[in-house]
Amino acid sequence: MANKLELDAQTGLAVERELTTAEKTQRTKDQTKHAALFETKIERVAARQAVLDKLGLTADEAAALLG
Amino acid sequence: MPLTTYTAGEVLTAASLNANFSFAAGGSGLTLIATATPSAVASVSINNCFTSTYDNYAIIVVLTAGSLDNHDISIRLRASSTDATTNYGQLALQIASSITRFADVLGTDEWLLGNYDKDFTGQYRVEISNPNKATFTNATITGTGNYNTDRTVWLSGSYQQSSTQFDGFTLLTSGTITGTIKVYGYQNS
Repeated sequence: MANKLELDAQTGLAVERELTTAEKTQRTKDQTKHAALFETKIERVAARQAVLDKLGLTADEAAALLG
Repeated sequence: MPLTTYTAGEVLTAASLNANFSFAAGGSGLTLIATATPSAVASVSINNCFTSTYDNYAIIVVLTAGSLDNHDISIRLRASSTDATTNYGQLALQIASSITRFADVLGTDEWLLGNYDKDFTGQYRVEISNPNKATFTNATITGTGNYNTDRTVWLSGSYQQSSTQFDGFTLLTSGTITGTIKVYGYQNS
């Protein structure tokens, strides 16, 4: 069960409740998007490592070269 | 007005005393508006924290525990308890030992605060201007979290290109949020 904490700054009233149907739908959409972004990040790291391997450089050596 | 210090025998005026009361009430320049302490929730919304009283706000998010490896934490502005999901933009620099990148990130439906991990703590700060005015809203976001076993630093310039008068915001993540969120208002004068 996914919950949401909602605080009203004027009254100080805080309520923890279950996500509404619309909020659950948006959360699923957000999770899909963020998972894809993470995959993109992983691919970038892998591509960088592949280039380093081809050149026979360590990450520290590449940083020294580019720095 | 600066704080007035009185000397023995001095005649006090109402104006001077009132100025001192005002100074004492908000002498730091920052006023705490709201504190939320979520525990393992999917999202956190703080409503009615942006008003016409302040132009500029600081939102400080300290996360003490996550529920997943390698995920993001984001923010959406909201009005009348409804999140805005359009008109966002963000240019960001992400620095970690495994990756450094400049990015135009996350499309147009939210701002990214940074990366988040269940094995690390995180801290994120949003400096936001004019959220409650009928003009564009801009923010500077900094964060330190964790990504792919590395500590990361996240720096971004973020903008919301609508004239909506926002009165709150929602923090979102793919996992859960545990920690403390504080909202401060910068005194206008």
